[in-house]
Amino acid sequence: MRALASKIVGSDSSPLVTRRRNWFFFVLFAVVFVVVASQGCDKGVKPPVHSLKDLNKPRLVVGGEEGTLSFRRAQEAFPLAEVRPFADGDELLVALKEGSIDAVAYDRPYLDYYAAVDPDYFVLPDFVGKGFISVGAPQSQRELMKRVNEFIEIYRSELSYDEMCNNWNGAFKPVESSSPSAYQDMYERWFKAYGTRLPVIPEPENPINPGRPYVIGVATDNAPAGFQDEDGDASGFEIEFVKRLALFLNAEVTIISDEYDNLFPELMDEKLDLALGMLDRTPDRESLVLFSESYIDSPAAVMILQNRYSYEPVASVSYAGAGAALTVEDMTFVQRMKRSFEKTFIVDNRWKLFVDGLTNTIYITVVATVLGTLMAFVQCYMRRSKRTWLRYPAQIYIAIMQGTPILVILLVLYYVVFTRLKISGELVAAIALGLNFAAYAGEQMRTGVDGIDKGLLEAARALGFGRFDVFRKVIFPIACRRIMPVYKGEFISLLKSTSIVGYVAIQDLTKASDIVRGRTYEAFFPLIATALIYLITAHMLASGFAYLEYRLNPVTRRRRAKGEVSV
Amino acid sequence: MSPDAPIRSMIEVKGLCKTFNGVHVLRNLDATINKGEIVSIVGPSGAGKSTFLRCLNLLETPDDGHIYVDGVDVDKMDVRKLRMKMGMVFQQFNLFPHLSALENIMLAPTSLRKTPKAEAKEQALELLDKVGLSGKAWAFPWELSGGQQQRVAIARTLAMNPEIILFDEPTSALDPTMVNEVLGVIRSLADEAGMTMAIVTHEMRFAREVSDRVFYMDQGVVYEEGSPEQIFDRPKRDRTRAFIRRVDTVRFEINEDDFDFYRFDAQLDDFAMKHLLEPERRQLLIDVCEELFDNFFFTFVHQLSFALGITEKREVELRFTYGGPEVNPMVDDSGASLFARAIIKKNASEVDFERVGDENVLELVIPNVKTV
Ligand SMILES: Nc1ncnc2c1ncn2[C@@H]1O[C@H](COP(=O)(O)OP(=O)(O)OP(=O)(O)O)[C@@H](O)[C@H]1O
Ligand SMILES: [Mg+2]
Repeated sequence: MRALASKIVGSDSSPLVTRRRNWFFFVLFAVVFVVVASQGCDKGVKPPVHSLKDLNKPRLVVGGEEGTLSFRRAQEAFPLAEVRPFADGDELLVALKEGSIDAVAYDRPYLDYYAAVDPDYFVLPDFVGKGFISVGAPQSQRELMKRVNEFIEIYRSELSYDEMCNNWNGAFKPVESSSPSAYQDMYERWFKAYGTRLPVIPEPENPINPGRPYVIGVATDNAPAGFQDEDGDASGFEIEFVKRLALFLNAEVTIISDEYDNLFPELMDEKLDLALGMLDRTPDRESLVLFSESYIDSPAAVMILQNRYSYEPVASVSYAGAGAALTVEDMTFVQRMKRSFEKTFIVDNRWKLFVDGLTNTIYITVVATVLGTLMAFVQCYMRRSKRTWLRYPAQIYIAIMQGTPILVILLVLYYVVFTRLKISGELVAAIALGLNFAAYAGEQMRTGVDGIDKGLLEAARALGFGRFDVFRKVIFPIACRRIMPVYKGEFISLLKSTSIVGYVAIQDLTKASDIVRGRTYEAFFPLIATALIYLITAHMLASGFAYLEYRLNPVTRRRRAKGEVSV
Repeated sequence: MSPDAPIRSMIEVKGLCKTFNGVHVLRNLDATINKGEIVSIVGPSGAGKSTFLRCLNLLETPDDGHIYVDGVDVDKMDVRKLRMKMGMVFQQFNLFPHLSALENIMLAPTSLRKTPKAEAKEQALELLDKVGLSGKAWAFPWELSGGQQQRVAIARTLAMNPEIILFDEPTSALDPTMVNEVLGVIRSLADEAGMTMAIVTHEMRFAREVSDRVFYMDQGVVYEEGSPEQIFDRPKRDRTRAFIRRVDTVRFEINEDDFDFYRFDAQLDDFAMKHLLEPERRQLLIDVCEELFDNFFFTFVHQLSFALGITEKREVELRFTYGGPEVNPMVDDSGASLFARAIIKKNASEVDFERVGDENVLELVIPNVKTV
């Protein structure tokens, strides 16, 4: 009891010190922020692009679709720029429009198509690298594949339609076109002229395989290579290709309107004889299925916004600073700092991102603490119970929570447990962090409660207190004081661990700094500012706890009471 | 108590039994405490005195038997009502560390009796005054001496206006200098008419002065009871007499698994030192124990309890209590106790073996060499 006493007396003066320090930090930050906010705006003009080499610069961002050949090609071609992976093509286009990336690296045919659809886009003429778009077939279809390759060779040759028509039963019957080769004609129509319809192509008259058609899967979620037209019929470049191939083979075919993701599994199960879907021929895949020669030129190319395109070669990158146009190299340190500050906080009202992020962070922290504390009570009760069936589940729960990374718990809750329920990501994050918090805080509560002298509980019972009153009047107040310091620590580490919620698409403070970092192409200010905001928030919340500790200190109560008692 | 008031029993205990892990601590205990009576309970360590008190307010659940408080079977009473009627003061004070002296006293009345705060505070201040601590209302337990803490604890118990107070060795944890201030408070309570008190104590002089009756407890029963004069001056039974003669005792719970002979040796030595035992008898004690433990007891039990006492005549008394089958080392023919038997026969003036329940009790007296 003496040790406890000295501890209580010792902690008496600390809250005041902590509070004074917090004020210092707060004032410092506020002054810096106001000074910066009072400066003008930097419009952040982006450097023009003439050729591929203008994109290979630090702080420029080239977006690509994760896992594609064109993405890898872009990584090779732009070692100095950031090549940022995106989950799908649509996001890429949005990011380009928004200006959060400078260019999109993708398969040329698609870029041509997008540029044909939307004049804001511009495809740079140079290729980033070669592509291999091939027809796929199961390993067993070696003979058929040989014939497909013969077809591709002829269709890509420079022979005119007329010449080919003579040779191949009209497989290459032209469609009001002047292009020299069938391939060129099809490419022009489908990828460069928006709104092409499928030409009428006859079926083979005396097929060599009557009644047993080749089953050909074509991805129709992939305009303009394959899609469903207004009537719901399969259409597109690849459909036309397949129909012409059928004529060439003189064979009946059944076209399966398929999804891209199904093509490989179905090929491997031999459910399809051939598959088309702008399939990239990669070494990994070649070990599993057969690939034809490339039936379409699909090199990776780069698309930028039309207004960034410079018709003349670009000499050096220049930015418009506050008033004067300076290159980055010319700026003084102070100017650079100031510009960075403006870019981080002022441009596009980015400070709002930080404010929103901080709001989310605090919301998640508070909800997680409340939930976690309630669960910690329950867990503490279960752990202390004499009943095994209450004790064991709690023990298992603690083992799981303490042995699993919090990020994994968050992902499991977000992608597995709560996928069906319509609850916000913030709440899922708060639950995940709360569960984790409970495991630790509950154990601390348990040791806090277990550490209470049994004699005190007996004294209370001997006075006539029931179980609940013993808890309320004796255990709880004593345990509270004992637990508070560790509980505070746990709370602060909860605040900090909210920085992982960006993984499940929540814009917290860390994510906000990520976004800003992505837009300004520099890390220093967003990260330092974020660290500072965390630090200040943690200190302010901690000082709240320190005040609570101070109030819970019985000596404080005596000092304040002056005769007034609180039992 | 005025002589012509009808004597009514406040507490009546019949056939009380309590075991801990198969060890019988209370064996069929019968006792009666009358209304307004002050009863002191004395007896050797381990006799079950604390257990007896704790059974009365149901801090321990009896295994068997009946307890009537004010004529009502406690089994039929609300435990909390019973405890409000019967306060308890502990050896370790057990003040609530988060509350001041005043708040410690007020806590139960305000929470359990719903006494208004102002009233409770007034009463608490009166009680503090009564135990001589009116200046310490805002002191926290750690700021008080042991004696002061125990007096606050007594005031805390009084605040519930109990009809009975149980004291379990209220001065045993105190420095000798503080014993009297606490005894003084208890004595003044005893002088007030009406309060029924049961006091477990090792303070014989205090017990003699303050009590109406004395219980001598041994081996789980009230072994002898009577007026203080009867018990302290003319005890009828051997054990009582032996206990009263004893100046000091010490008790060891010995477990073969974690038995540390060096530590035990040192503790025996401390005891011998304290009572200025001659080196020969000190050595003899250690020899007897070593022989008996290693070559006899540990051959058939893991656990035993060993009590050592010194009497007014400076005799050393040894008492071994052990479970297992009935085996007396003095007649044991296994040969295990051969050497021990020889030493004992040569040195002990009294050897007494008794089977109590399922336990064996061996008592030896080693006389003062000078008088032999
Ligand atoms: N909760 C318990 N669990 C197990 N054994 C116990 C428990 N309480 C008491 N005992 C045992 O019961 C016996 C009697 O204990 P008790 O405390 O009643 O003796 P006592 O007469 O009060 O002795 P002392 O003078 O040392 O306080 C002892 O052997 C003790 O070890
Ligand atoms: Mg005791």
